[in-house]
Amino acid sequence: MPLTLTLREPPAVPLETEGLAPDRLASLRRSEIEALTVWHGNERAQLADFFAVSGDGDEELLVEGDVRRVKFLGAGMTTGRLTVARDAGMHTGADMRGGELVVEGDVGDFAGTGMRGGRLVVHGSAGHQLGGAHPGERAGMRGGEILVHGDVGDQVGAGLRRGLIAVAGRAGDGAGLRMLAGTIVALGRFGAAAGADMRRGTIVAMSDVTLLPTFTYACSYRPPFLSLYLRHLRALGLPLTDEQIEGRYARWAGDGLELRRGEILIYEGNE
Amino acid sequence: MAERAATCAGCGCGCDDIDVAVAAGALERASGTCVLGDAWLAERTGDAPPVARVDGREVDFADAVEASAAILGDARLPLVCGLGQTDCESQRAAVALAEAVGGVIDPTGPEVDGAAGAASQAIGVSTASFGELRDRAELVVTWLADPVTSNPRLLPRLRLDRAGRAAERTLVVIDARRTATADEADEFIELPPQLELQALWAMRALVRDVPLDRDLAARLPLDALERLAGRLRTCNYAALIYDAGLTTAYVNALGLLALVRDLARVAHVVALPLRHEGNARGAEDVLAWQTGYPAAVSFARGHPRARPGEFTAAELLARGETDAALIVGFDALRLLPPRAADHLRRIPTIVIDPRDTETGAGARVAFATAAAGVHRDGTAHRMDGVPVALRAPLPSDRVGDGDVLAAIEARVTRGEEP
Amino acid sequence: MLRIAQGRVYDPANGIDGEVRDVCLDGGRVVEELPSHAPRIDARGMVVMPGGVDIHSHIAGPAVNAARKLSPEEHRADVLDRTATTRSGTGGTVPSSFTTGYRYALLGYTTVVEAATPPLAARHTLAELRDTPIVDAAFLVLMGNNLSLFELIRDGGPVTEAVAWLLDAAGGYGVKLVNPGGVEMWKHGNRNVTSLDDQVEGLGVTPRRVLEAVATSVDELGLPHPVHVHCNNLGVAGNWRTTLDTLDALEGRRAHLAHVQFHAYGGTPGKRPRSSAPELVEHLAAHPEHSADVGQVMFGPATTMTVDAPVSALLREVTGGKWVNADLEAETGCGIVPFTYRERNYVHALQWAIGLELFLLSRDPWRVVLSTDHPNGGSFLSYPRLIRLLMDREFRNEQIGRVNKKAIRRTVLGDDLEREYTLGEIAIITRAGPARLLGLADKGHLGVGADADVTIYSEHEDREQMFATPRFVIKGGRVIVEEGELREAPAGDLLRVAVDHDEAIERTLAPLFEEHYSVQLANYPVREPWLLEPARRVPAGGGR
Repeated sequence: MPLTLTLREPPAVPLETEGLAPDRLASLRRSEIEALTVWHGNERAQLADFFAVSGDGDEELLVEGDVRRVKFLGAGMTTGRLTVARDAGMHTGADMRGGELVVEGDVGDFAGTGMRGGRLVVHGSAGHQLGGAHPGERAGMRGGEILVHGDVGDQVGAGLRRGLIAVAGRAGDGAGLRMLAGTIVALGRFGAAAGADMRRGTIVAMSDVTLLPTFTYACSYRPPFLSLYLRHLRALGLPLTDEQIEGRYARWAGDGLELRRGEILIYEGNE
Repeated sequence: MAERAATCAGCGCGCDDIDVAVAAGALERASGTCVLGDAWLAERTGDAPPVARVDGREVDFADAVEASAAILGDARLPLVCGLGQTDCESQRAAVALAEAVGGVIDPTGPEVDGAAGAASQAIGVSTASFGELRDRAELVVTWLADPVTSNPRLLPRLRLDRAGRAAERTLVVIDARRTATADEADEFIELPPQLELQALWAMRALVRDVPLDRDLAARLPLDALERLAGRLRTCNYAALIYDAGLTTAYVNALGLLALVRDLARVAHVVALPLRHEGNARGAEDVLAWQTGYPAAVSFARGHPRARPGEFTAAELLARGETDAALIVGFDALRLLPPRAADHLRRIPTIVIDPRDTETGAGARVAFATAAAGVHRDGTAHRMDGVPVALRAPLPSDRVGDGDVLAAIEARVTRGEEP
Repeated sequence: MLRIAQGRVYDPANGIDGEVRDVCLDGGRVVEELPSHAPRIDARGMVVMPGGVDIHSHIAGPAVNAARKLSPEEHRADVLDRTATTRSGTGGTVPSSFTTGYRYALLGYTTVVEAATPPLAARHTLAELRDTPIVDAAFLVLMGNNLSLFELIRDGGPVTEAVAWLLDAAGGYGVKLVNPGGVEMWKHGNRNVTSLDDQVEGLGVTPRRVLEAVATSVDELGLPHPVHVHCNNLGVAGNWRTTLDTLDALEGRRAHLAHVQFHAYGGTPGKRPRSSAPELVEHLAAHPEHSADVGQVMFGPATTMTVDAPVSALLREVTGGKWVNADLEAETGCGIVPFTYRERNYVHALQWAIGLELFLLSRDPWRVVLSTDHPNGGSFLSYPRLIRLLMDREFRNEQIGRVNKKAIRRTVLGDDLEREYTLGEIAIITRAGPARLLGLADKGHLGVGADADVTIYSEHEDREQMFATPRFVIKGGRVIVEEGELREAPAGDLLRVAVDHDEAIERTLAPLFEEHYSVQLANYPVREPWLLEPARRVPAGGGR
């Protein structure tokens, strides 16, 4: 049985748990884990005040209970595997550098902010600013993969510099806002202003997108790299069809206000 | 009867040329005010509720302070919000209290500079004070903003109203419908709000000679925008006026500030955000100098952290993540979105306000104070950032917002000691 | 009462250079002697200096605050917790107000001059200074692009009275000129002036006339601090000639040049600059009425924050990043661009080297004093490292070896300048000199009657470490810092100048005011006691 932290009851106000990452906990004794600092609002408390600790895993950590108000789960993790059995709170996987973080339910805003490596998988939906930038910073996610089986909120992948974000559902407004490079794929619809001020990188849309007028149509083609990418995503569980993988895409270059070296690829079919 | 000088804090204009006639300690009449200024004065000079109430019952001031300190002391994540209608000195006391109780503080009015403030942290901002707009701006564009309604004296003060505008100056209004401001303009460009983003990006392209996809821009009033872009590029000094309260979508705010930045490379162009509350700007300024951040600051972990969205009052409340609230000069129950207001009804609240409000009536503790700018001297920052002196044309035997905040803080801090 | 016993005292203003002796403090002042039972600090083996005095820094006011708002990413990485004695805050290159006060004090500084406040925004600056604890603070009032003054200068009006009135109205200490005429031209369609004799369009003045008129007024008023000038053409290759022109124009009048490093570039505009520090050092050596602070560039993060808005627009093009511009009616502008100085970059390395040249070639430490133009050249927190660069030749040469070689070849730094600053000289450029240039008779020395502001360092071979963590810092006779910890954090005083003006000047200014401002003349002067107190007025003398 993996090392398991079970939240006894939902906290009255958010619980902040920086450092609850499998790699960090792996080297700690049970008593040390129980004594880890968590913040219940403005009150410094110990992990054991809120969580029951059981099992022991070698870099495998399971978080159970209603942790919607638990923030920073897996933030900064570098290796190992963290599974959140239900919905997770804000900042989940922020600044993570490696390992795998799986959220079985939904995840709150700012998940994967400043992520540099590893994989974040969300089986439900994600909030706003998934894989985005910390306030004031130019670059957002700098590496790794994020896979969301549901929908995502606004500004997914804002400032994205490297890495891949794939969404089975819809993406909100401002997807790939000011992105510098990297790839964002969504199977559902995009909100307004996809790719606004994007410099480089690729946004892949499987349904129609309302483009900003600073994008220009380039061509219609079957991008070879894309089928590789999409195969990889299907292997990870994204429900992509053969038609989409082998399909033809309209390539729109933009944002014209920022070098026009980025692209939005819109699935056209597979005739 | 005595004539006394006053500064109106009824909106973000901070008009400091008001005269108030006072007879027997009461307001006789005011001159120089606009309709908002008259309302602002009236709300603060009517019958005031008792100085201090707990659960609706009149109590001694000290008891109300004690009750407030108890509420905040018991709270694990108290929220301090409002702030846009009090003076900088009281805002300063509010930050100190929020820090002392390890709470979240966020200036929360009907119109705060949320999105534009956050967008300016990504790209910056070019701005100017009223006098510059008045004396230098040849071309002024109001972008989905209606200052004639929201800030009635602004256009006359900038000599941009029809009557005061010199022939060589131009006012262009871009809005969803013909507003009162449009009636003052040389040109009105109709733009449905859902096309704002498209229009901003099109304007930026036109200004920078970036090719524009005419099909994608087909729904835009492109000819008018093209003419406007040409004029903006060739003028010596131009200004965009937008409404900080209406610019609530981050991407739109970013586009607007980016347009100004793009323009600034070819002409001298500045932007002025309209602010509806008399000292909303001051709240951000005070918070910024004390913490480094203009809004959405949490002291829960003993030092300032800021995150718009996470610690924005309305969103924090709507998620039910705060367990007490102290509200300064803001009728939150009436003005917050329903989900946020609902949570506010569930948690203990402390209200500090010179006015009789629904939020005050429903509060666990309510203080009725002497009003900044009416009964109390102080400082306010106009929407353009210029600090102006607030005067006290009327006498009052009550204490000000800042005094209440300081009294609660003193009680809380004393409680901290072993 | 406090006796600092048997430290090695560096008090250059009183000719004391490392003598082992006692310093006695009582009632906030240095006193001759104390009874033997007075509490004492055993300072044997320690170095005792007056509290540090920063002559040119940007710590409060609307520009500083705009810079704070602009950079949340810096604040996130550098936080201060609330303690029993201190407020919480954030750091970075532009710290929050409380943090600024604490960190200056922790560095052994007890007096700081905010170098650029528009009088229209004085209430804002004053409110921030009130929230900047411990240090005594003064601010300089911007007058180099003031439309009312321009009109008086053009028409031969009562400039001196207007200068006096502005100082009093703002609660300021001294007079600052920034790119005189140039900022006004920036507001005329993004233009600038490039020489002292360019016309400021439509206003009938030139930078030269503004410089001469205001400097004359400052001398006439006998202000304790001379006119504080940020020259035209900041950062432009070949600007040393403008700087020299400025000094020539001001010959015979007192003047202090701000951050002269940024104004010491040879070469041709638009091309790569080289160093002209030696030429400027020559001039300064020959003109005792002139002084400068260096404005040293230090590698790493900075925030460029200047009234010189056209310069900021150029920097925006260099970084392609965030930029703030803020025009303030009738008085000034403001530009902000976050910036990082890199060792390998030719221009940055040259700037760094020119600063060091100015220090090392300067013959009179009393008149070429230390600054980084915080946060423009780097944070004030980098002063200890700068002191080590000046005191430790081996360390300096090692650093010189790391930076862009081409840049070093454009300077004389590669000639292995042997000079090493002594502790006495450091005491001059960091406290005694700035205090004297500011005309603060009670600051920067430990003679009887001086303010009881004292910094005590443990001797350490690594001068950076020594100056970064004073053993004790005493402000107004109270021990504020001990072993790197703040013990208490009292408010500092506002230092403002006391200068008379003829009341009739308001009648002259009234129509100009009406024309240029969007506030009422009656509301312009700061009179609010909570903004101005506690203040100490330093009398203007001399002139009249």
